[in-house]
Amino acid sequence: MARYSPSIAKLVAELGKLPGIGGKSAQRLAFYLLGQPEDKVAALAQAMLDAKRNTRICSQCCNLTDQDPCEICSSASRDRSQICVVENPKDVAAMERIHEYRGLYHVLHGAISPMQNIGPDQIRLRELLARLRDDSAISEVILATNPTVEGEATALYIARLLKPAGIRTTRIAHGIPMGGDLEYADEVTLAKAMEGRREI
Amino acid sequence: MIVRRIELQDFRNYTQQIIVPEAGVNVFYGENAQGKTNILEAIYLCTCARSHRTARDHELIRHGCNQYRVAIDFNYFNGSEGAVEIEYLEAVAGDPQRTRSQRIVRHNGIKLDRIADLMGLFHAVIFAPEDLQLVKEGPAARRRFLDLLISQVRPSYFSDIQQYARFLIQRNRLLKMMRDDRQSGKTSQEKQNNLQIDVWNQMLAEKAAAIIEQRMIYVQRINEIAEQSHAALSSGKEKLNVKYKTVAGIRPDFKREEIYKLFSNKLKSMVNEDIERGTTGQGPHRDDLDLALDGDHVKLFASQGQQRSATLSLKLAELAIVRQDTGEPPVLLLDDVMSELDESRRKRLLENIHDAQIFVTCTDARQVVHDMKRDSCYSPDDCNILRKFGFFLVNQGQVQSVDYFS
Repeated sequence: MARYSPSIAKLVAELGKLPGIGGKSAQRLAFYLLGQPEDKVAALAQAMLDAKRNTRICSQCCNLTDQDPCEICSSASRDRSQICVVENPKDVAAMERIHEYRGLYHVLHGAISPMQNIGPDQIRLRELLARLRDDSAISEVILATNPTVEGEATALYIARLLKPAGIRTTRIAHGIPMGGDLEYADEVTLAKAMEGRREI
Repeated sequence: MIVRRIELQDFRNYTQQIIVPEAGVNVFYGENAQGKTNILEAIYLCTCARSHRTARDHELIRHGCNQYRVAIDFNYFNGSEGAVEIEYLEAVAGDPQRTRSQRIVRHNGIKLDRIADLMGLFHAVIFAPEDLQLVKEGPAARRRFLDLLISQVRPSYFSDIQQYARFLIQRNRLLKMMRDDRQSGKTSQEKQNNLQIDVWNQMLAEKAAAIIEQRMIYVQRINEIAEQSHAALSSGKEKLNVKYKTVAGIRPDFKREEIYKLFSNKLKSMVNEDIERGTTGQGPHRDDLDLALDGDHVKLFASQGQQRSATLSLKLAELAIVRQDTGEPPVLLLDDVMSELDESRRKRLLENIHDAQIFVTCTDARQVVHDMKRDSCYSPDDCNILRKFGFFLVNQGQVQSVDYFS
């Protein structure tokens, strides 16, 4: 980067730290930004700062939010008897897009993975247990962690933890995507779909 | 299955090579160290993206290059076509596009997301000098043989092994953490860890049960075929027995559910030993194939010749199973085996392969022509296209089609 003036080199280096951005993309973005009017660049910088400063973790569901408790937790129209447990804030957004689920959420911010030194204490599991203890209205916990090795282990761990408490614990189904061809489904998904088949 | 076209780029000692084989017997001949085996290796690579000679892709790249590519076009016996392509791009220091080495696998031009998806598309069975490792080396070579065989005919098995490996890493990691806690007298995590180890036990045992069940089914089949072929090779004098050696208490007739129950109880009861050791002491990753001749261990007691016969019998079983399960003969790759096998073993091998497309390497083409023509199936007068011979002279990384009979 010696060719660039120090401030351009700095911008390229910072952009290059973003996920999915390599050296070439970082340069392209940097020069795009330099070519923009100052107010556009200021708006972008302000948006990044605002997002960072205003976003915090909801004291109830641990989702990222501007207000605490978050919109979903404070909504009067949600069903307070169900909690859907997911790994990431992005999963809440995905769930919300279906407009079917009317219950509450709990975001773990990760999944149990000993090889990455992530144990039950490193995800927001304690917060979930506290919620279940304090709120007797909750009658079902839906485990919607990812169908990966770590997601499955996390779901199983939570299920075992909740068993003595007698709360109904369910796991979302795995199977074939709708509108997809069986032909293109991978073997693991197909095997799971066969396993989870039901009478019609 | 019939290979129509082979293309090599910067693979081993080939810069750029296209080979158009015959549907029958393809003889690659030439001096030593000219690149004959490399052609068979490339074809085999297309079955499972793994070489039969090395686990390191780096070794497959031509000297001085940083990537290789292998592509084959083939036909199934029902006439439908397929194409498989394997490309390996090695990491290049200083190139942001190439920070990590990656393997790209394509089927009919479409990039596959996972190597597992390659399984079951193209079938080849290789007979090579390295096969002797099956009887001479440790259990890992035999597990690899079993795993590659079953993966070829049951693609979901391959995902099972991959997932099992991942569960195992996670469980072992947790065991080490628990060991460290015990040694330092830390008890704050104990309850949590005990619950977590239960979870990994259950997940590991589920996969282990699926793997062990399949392995027992296939070993049973291998045993039946290998026993027959070994009896024929030894004129009925010797009895080869192949047995799957697994966790104590699991019987060959156990179903998945029973295996799961037994193995998960075993994991539970062995947990203290496992914590002390920091690894999982039992399971499919430790299992083995027991090979016995008239009750004696082949590795310890059999002669060189008996070991060769046992190896050949195992490989013939692999060939028979792939043929049965896929409904057509796989492509056969014979790497210099004609010179390694004696007359009776050569004959036995040739009897089993008369309907498959064959790629064979040798230093002297006459020997192969002699062997194969003697078997009536290979008569050059036979108008069946399958029987056509192709001859290729291999010289310093160049392959040249030769009209041998003229």
